[in-house]
Amino acid sequence: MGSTSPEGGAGRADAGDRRAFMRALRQPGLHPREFAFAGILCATVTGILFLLRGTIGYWSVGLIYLLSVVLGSFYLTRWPVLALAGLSAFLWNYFFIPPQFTIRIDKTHDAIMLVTYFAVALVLGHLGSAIREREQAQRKQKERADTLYSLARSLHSSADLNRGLRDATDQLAEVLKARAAAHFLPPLAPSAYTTSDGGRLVIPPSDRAAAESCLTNGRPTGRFTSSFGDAANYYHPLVSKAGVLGLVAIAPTRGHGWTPDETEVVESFAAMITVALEKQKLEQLTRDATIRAESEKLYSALLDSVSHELKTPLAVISGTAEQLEKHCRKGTAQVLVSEIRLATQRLSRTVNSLLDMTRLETGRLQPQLDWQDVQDIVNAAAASVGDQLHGHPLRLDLNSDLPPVRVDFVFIQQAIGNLLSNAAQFSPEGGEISVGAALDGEILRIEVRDRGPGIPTGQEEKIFEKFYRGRSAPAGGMGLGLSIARRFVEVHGGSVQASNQGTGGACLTIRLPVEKLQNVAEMVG
Amino acid sequence: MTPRPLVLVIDDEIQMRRLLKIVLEQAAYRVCEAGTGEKALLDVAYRKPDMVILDLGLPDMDGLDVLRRLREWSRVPILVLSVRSDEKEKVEALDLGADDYVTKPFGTEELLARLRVIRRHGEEGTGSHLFEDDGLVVDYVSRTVSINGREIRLTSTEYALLRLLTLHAGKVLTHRHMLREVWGPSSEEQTHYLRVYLTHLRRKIEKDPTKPGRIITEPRVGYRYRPGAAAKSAL
Repeated sequence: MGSTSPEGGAGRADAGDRRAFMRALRQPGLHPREFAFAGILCATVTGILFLLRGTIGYWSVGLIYLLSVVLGSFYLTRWPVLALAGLSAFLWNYFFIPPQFTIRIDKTHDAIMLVTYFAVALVLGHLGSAIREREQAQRKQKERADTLYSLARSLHSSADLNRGLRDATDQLAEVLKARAAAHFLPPLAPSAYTTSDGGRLVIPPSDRAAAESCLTNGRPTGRFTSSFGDAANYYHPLVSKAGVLGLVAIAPTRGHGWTPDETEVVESFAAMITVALEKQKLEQLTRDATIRAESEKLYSALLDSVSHELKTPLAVISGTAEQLEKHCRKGTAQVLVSEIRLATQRLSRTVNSLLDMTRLETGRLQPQLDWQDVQDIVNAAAASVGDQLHGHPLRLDLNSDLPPVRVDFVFIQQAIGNLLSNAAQFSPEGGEISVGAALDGEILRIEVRDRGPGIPTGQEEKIFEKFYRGRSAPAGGMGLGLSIARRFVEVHGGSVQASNQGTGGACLTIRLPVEKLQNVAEMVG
Repeated sequence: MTPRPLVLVIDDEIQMRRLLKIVLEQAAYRVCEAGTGEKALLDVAYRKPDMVILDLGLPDMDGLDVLRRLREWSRVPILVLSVRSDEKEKVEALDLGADDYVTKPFGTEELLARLRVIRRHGEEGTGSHLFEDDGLVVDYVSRTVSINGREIRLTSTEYALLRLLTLHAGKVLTHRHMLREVWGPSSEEQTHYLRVYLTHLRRKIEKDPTKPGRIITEPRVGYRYRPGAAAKSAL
């Protein structure tokens, strides 16, 4: 008979019903009671009807049986109802339909009645229990939603995440009728947690492997699972996109595993905690970033004001000295004024070096990459150190077909300038300084060579240290030039290295990874 | 006899103002001073200076705002004085209508040279059709260029660049300005055009292209054509 599924093609509902049945089967102690109830109901109705059979005849008996099936379906699950329908059909036939006390039926219309009764009882019983099940499912769903909602509320409404977590964990424990505690990485230090009802949740040493496996693999372990099923507690991981953040440990108080509903609650709970943790992390990051931005702004303002306060008097001194020089064209006065100017220039360089160093160290100087002509940079560098070269002849040995490269003009100019003034310091009177530049594939190589004493063996790296000054260094200078040069190049992802030339003298080499312009010829052509 | 030109010095540092006053008065300028942006705006309106020297670091308002508000109604030549080696600020000042800039600490001769240039450009009505400087002659009418009497051939882009630079000789031109003038507004970011063409232009007009004396690079800002006379006095 196709009447178990009254709406044709309700396959999915059917599958759902089967699952519900399986679930019902797994709930112990429920069914025998229902079957017994069905039996008693049937027996009672039959007894009463049997007593009244003389006055009511046997046809109306069928309708009263039908009523009992319909009423039964409101209280019973499916199979007891169907059993009730079958049993009542049999009893009707046996006790009431003539010939009585046989299962035989003589008259055709009686047989039709019985068959129709059975079919109608089945359909009504099925419908009744389906309605009831649906209503129950809805109630359960609402309960679950309420639980999750209150979990979420505990987690998110509390300003203090830890407190929210504790409240939420308590609720979870209540729903599961177990004790629960949430634990977050870093690793499992405490072995016992105090739950808020004052009880303790212990992670016994024997559970350590289970908990750790849960953290590393991000899958539930421990009690009721296939991995470490003999553990004392159940462990559920808190998995975020970034990895496992921690776990929820649950100490069950009963022997059988979680129902699907409970599993769902645990999973939703874990997901919500994870979201809350991530949210907290993001908030922390945002806060940190804001604080950092604020302090950087402050630092920047401070640096600007220090820079202004140092440079303005310098500008006044050098300007005044320049004016003074016009008035003192001879004698001691002129010498004195030119001393002021020289000292001012030196102080100016020192201030610039210190400010550059500070800005570089704090990452405040970012290269502004733009297409630049290497020759132009080298020229500007040579011009900027002009009088520091102290009459050393400068030879430029640049490949004339260097294409434009993307670098920060000022940074590279200053780096080369620092290398040049370093070379000038160590070169003997009149010693030539040469600058070469060439492109090796994607690497721009700039070399500054001098005719000085070279670099003592083993000092090739040391000379780039801050405030390091070579033994043969002339007086003056802070030992910042090379280290600043190196940093200027390093912010481009390049390097500066020192070596000695075979012919004597040092060679400082800048290597810069550069993007070069491909279609120069095409563009100009 | 024309009256001596009046320069308004806007700077909050009194020492700087005193120094500038001495320098400028020796160079035959009259000087008036303003220590704040508000006073500066009033002074420009009522004293009608021939030139303005503006320090960007002012106590009461941003120097760039002073510049912006001045340029809303006045075309007075403005030389910006900046202590910061912040090229972005210089470019912004130039884009807002400043005529040139000097970075502190500056040489006084350099400052005076810049002032002369922007004053000349401020007065310029119809200029000559010929540009002559240290052997270089650019004829804007016949669009020819010669060095020491020998004609040199430039591509149309190279000529456009040279024309732009020489028309504003002595004045800094920002990358953006040059790109807009020569290649059009849609090419304002294409700085590599400038690099490539200037390298070629320098090869043709510089005595020693490895040591350019005419077209000077202003790092991160732009280029400047340095006329011979100005070059000598600036050094």
